[in-house]
Amino acid sequence: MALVFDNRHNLQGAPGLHALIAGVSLYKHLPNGGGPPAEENWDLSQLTATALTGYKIYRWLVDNQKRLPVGLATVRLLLSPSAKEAPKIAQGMSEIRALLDGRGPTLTDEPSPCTLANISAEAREWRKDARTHNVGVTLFYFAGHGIQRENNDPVMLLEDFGNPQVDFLTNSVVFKKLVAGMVPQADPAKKMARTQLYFVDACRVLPANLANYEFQDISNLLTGELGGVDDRATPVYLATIPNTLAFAKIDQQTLFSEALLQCLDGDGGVPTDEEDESGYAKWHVTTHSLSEALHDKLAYLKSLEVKQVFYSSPGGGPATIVKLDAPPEIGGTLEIDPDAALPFVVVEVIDERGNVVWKLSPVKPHPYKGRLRAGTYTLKANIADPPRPPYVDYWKSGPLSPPGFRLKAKVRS
Amino acid sequence: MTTLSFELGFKSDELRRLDLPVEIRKPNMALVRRALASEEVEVGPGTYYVGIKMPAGQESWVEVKVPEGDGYERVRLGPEPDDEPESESEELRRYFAPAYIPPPLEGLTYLALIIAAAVGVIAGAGLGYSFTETYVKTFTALAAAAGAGLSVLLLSKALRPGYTAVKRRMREARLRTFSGNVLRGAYEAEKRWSPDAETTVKTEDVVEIAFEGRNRDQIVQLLQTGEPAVNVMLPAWGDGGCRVVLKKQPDARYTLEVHLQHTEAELLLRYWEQGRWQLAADAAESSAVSAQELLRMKRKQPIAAAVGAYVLLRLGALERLHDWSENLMHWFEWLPDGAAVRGEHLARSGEHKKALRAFCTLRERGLPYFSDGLSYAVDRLRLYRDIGEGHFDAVELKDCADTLALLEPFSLFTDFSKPLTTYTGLDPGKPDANPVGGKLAERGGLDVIELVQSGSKKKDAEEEKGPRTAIGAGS
Repeated sequence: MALVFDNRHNLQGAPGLHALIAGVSLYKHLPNGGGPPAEENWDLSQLTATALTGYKIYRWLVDNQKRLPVGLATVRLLLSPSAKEAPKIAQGMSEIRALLDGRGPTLTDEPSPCTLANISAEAREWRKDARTHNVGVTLFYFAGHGIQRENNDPVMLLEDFGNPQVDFLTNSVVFKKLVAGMVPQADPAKKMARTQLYFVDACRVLPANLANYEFQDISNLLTGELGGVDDRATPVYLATIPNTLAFAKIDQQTLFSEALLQCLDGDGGVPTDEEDESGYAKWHVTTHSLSEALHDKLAYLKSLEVKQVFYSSPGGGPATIVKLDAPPEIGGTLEIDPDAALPFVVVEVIDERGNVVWKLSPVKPHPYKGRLRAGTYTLKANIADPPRPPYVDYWKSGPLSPPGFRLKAKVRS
Repeated sequence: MTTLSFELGFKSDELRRLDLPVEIRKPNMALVRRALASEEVEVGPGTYYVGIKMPAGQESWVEVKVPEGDGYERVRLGPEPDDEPESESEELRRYFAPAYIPPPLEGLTYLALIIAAAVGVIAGAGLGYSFTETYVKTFTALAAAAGAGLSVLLLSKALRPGYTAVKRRMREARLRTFSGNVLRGAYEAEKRWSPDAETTVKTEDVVEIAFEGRNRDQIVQLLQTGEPAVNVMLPAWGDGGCRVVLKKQPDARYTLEVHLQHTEAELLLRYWEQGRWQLAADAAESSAVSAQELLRMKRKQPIAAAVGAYVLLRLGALERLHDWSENLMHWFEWLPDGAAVRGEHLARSGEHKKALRAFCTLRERGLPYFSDGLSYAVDRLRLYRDIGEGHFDAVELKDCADTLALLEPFSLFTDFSKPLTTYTGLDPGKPDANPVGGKLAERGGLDVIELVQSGSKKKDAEEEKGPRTAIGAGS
């Protein structure tokens, strides 16, 4: 049963977040899938981490439900795991049950396989839930094989893709029609969640002979509607840009989901205009700050030498995705310029309350690497036993925020 | 209360006048205010941090201590003196350029690796055989395997840069321009086009060419050996021109970027490209890209206004688009993006019949300059075609199908991750993804490599004469 988490009864009519999560690693009709082979396979193979990625997104929602802007109401989980992923997912589902049992939500341990029939039925139910509240939030996440029928039109391939008993493309779905199917209805009295988050964690390659097939054969999860006033926020986060592949760490998770969860856990944090009881700014991750943070993760992709580029579109004004409990921790470096001054420099990094958080004498290793809580800091680099021309004391203060910092004390006069 | 005003400490006039988003925070990082550099902001006594962030990610923060009582303080924001770029053009590139991911060194083909392995096997086996007095099968096999491995390793690692260098020399690149309406097939190549020295800036591996507005659709096409031709719609109309920038990458390929001469609109585009949507939202508040400015400028900057409108659409700011999209549509009857913006705005307002009419005017207006415009038009027209029966009459549905038939071929080959409409195809009216075959010189246009080399030689000569002033960037 795909509805693995159901908390609607506890929310008692309050707006909630409704998630539809799909992760496909097992493709029955692709080589080594165990089913009747597809008439062609576009060189697609079985995947190793996408179902597990779907589970990790679910787990993140469960673990962070108190930090979401609205209560976690439902999670529909459709997973088609590989043989290696299946026990990990089963164990994870048990952990969630142990964590939440007796705390309200109705839980199911067995996600449904991500076939066209299953996801179509669940998408309709998901939309019904979305239509219960205007200030509700929806989240859609797909991890699996993807293609595109043209450059801005991702198509998601489901577990039964390539089933020789139906048309070749039948068991694939168009992403854009899903967004179109969630449009507010023409009658303004009818409700629809106005914040809708979409994540497509899949390749976006254009198969060479796709033109041989009728685009109409590709399925729609939801029937489109012309709709009324479309004042939704529909940010879309894609694992990669057109004509490129999306990658994963084998048997772990996709690179996109890894970066996404890092961003949601703090790397995408920005301060609000509110303060917490300890006097720090409250932080949150918004639809806009997530876009920027994912873009900043491109350096990581570059370091892995993969040609994958995260891409996002805001689709509306900034909306809070998750509130952070505290200012996020960020990593960075501290350098002394020039290196020759190193033996004479005593460095202090002082937070906004006057606490010395780093005292380095000498700065070793150089550059010094460390982590700090996001905030404003003063960097003091004093020359020991002055004067030591041409070196002079250095002082600078300013905010440090995600994705990281690079402090540089210029002590040459 | 103290009034804060802002001053941008850049080299170029364009950047100094730029209406950059400014953030004011308390020491505990709580957000006090988002503003624009042109605004004045009143704050109470206390310590604040005031900062800006450029599209390429550089930040500049200043601590401001505001005393009790009334006062006025001008806050200078920008790079520290010892971090300043050397020239105005470098400044623009450093702060505006998108974060490039240089492609890896040219990969070796399987055929090359197999040949290398075979050569290694023969050499290894031969050596192994010659060093043994009697034929020792195992030793020879081991030597052959070692030889093969060594050959592949050498070729794929040690020799790869050299291989890439050889491939670089074999590359050709040419630039062509076209003008006219590609949707209607009414376009032609600019046979005698050649950028003059005054509009061209060349530095090592970078060429910038300024294009003036010509009140006609202009397309620039980059041809490169073994790759599909890349076409970019040039946002150069009326008084607004643009700069085409060709950059040589480590693998000798050239990338083609187009920059608007309207700095605020360019700022919006670069924030957009870098996913900095909060900053884009803040910058879109600037009067410099607003409908009001459009009026003040006597309708001279429609491209900048279109960029502002697209950003508002992406941000879902429908209420701010009310007059904006209507004016863009009706004042600039030639501007494809006016129709695309208006159509999408009407569709999101639930006025689908009017939206369809707006989108259908693209047949006469031409291909939108911005990929969002093409995307909105194709998506909406497809939806109207698929589920429009009952909402539209037969004539409207036929118009819808006819317009879609013209746009879809372009949509299929457009790179929607780029803000400007960028698509592949040797014939700009017939998009495809086929690599350009034959000798590129026979295709006409400008030899990019020759242009760069002449630029390098000229630069060398000028450097011998003494320092020079960079020209053109951002103008």
